Amino acid sequence: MDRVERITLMIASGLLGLFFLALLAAAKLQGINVPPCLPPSVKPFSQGRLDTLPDGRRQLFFVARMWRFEPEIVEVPVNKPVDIFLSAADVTHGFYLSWTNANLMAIPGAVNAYTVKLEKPGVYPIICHEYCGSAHQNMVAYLIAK
Amino acid sequence: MTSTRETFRVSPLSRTLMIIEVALPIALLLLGVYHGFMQTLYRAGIIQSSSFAGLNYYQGLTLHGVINAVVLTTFFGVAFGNAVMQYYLRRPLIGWVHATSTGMMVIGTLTAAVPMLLGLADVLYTFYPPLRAHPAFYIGATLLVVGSWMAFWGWLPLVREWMRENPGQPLPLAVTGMLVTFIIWFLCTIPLAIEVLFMLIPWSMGWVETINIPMARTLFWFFGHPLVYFWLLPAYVIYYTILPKEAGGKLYSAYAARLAFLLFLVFSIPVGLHHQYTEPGFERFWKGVHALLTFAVAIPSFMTAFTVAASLEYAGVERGAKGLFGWMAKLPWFDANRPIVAYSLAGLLIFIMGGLTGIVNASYNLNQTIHNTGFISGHFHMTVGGPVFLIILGMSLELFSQLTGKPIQGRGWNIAVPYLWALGLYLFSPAMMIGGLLGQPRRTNMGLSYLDPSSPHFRLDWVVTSYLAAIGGAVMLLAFLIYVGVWIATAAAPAREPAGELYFATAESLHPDVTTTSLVAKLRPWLVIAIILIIISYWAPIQQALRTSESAPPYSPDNPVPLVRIQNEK
Repeated sequence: MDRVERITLMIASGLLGLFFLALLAAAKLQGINVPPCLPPSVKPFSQGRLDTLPDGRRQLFFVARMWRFEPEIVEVPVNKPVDIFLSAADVTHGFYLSWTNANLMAIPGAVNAYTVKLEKPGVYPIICHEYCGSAHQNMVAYLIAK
Repeated sequence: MTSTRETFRVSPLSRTLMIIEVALPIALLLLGVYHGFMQTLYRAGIIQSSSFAGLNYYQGLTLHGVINAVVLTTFFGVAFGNAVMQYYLRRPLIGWVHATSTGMMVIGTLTAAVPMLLGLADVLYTFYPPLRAHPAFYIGATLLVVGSWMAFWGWLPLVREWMRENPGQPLPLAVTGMLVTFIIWFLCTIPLAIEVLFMLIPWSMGWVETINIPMARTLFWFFGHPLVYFWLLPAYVIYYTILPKEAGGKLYSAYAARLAFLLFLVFSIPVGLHHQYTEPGFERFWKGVHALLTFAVAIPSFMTAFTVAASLEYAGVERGAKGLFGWMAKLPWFDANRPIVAYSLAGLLIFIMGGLTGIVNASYNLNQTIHNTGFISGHFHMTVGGPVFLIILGMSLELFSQLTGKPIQGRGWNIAVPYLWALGLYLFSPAMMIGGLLGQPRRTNMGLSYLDPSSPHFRLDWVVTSYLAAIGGAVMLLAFLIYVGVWIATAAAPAREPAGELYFATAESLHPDVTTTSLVAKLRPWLVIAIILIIISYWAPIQQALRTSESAPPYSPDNPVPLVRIQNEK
């Protein structure tokens, strides 16, 4: 390989390395991460619900099924952490809480999780973004932040 | 011109088989591309129904994915590989192997087409269980893949013979490229075969009741990402061998080209978990490992970008270009007698954005903002729908012309196709990607809800991007129709040259090529590293997928009740 080629290769690899470090920094320092791996003892659930912990933290259990989420409309406070847990009752579904990083797959046999803190009051649509059968396009829920 | 160049005469049997291999997928593309355009209309709310002209949106989406991304690309990989092996090794293919291979691929395609056309396999090209397709869909897909394996196995004795007769010479670059392509294909279709043969077929037949979903998905993406390199590498072979010569220059460095192919062999498979970042059940550490390896597989693509650009610059300078960027203007962009240059260059213009957006997708936590949104569809239409698709169109027509001896008709129209396609794509893909950043889901009949003003779910903020995508889709459809016109005119024209004479323009290397003692001239050590890396990267994720506590029964896409229960109640 000639010199120009080696230099280009080093620049390209260096840039990729830098990008990768930036991603790790965002994960470690800012807490922007992919969903965690819950222990296998956390079993899939079949009913949606909203729990309030003693410290005011909300735990929101969503069940995705053909072709709706449970609960379909739910209210949470702004600026408080909300732990989302997600289970699939039948086939594979998607879960995208609009304008947030809560972008999850609902997989039969496993529980997914993500924590969000909504800073702006408003209505946040939750969209199923994985094809789940003929009425997939109607599968929407709404999270209301007050 | 014809008399001085070195051609290879294909046997009559192989000639007929190769014409089928290039013509059948192009014919099927009529349906695949048609529904690509129709999806943009549904998604913009221009069509507000579940089906149009007898074809359901999701049924059409399945056909679009299976025909365009699997059938077309597999047939082309085999047809182009067959041509490369015969031309560069100067040997005929083994007749019975070629016939069996093509026969299995054709029968497999037709077997899978029947349930898709009857609406019994509306499961999209990823066929994620527990949505269940008719067993014929899985069986047909298996036959298609095994047929392509046969083609690959048939090349190996020819390669060995050539090496025996040409000691001290490295394999021709195009042969190395196609061998790497098919080694990757063979390795990555093994997990697919395990998923289909041991999980999906018994389950879709009703022999076993339930299936482990995380395991099925892991096996699918074990295959699903190397698949994209199976699409891409034949195009790279053309970028490295034919394009520099046809553009009037040389390949900048054959050594770098070979090294790039070997790095693809090493890094293209242990990366599948980057499609599963948002899934439960896998430890973050392993998602991170796959992210790092995905970044590593970007390196041979950067090398290719450099080598191809340097080769084109050399060609431009040979043609008298001055200054830093003068070479760009001197390239034969619009030479109607060298259509593959137009198809290649238009492909490169698209691929710059395709490659960069791919790095966004690979970026671990950054993927949280775009996973399963329109951003993904926007991205991969700039890779598989860009350079891959254009090179397949350009080279299929070229092969058809050589195999039938019929010169390409409508040459001016032919070179308009790639640029018109690129224009349409540069409307469609950015619209899809911006839409994705606004939260538009991919693979969704949005006209029935989000883009229907009378629906409670209507999203005004998605209107502009969906319409732009539809305009882009219309331009792309127009480009494809012109291509079909050129193909039909060519087929209808009389043969003017001897049929079955293969010819590939081949660039020499500006910098010295490898010697046979170089590590870069060998395949085996790299294959060993690839296998070790696959085992390391997939050992733990497979254990994690197997921990799943519950498995799932099959479902029909139009009923929330499991199929087993429906059958019991009857």
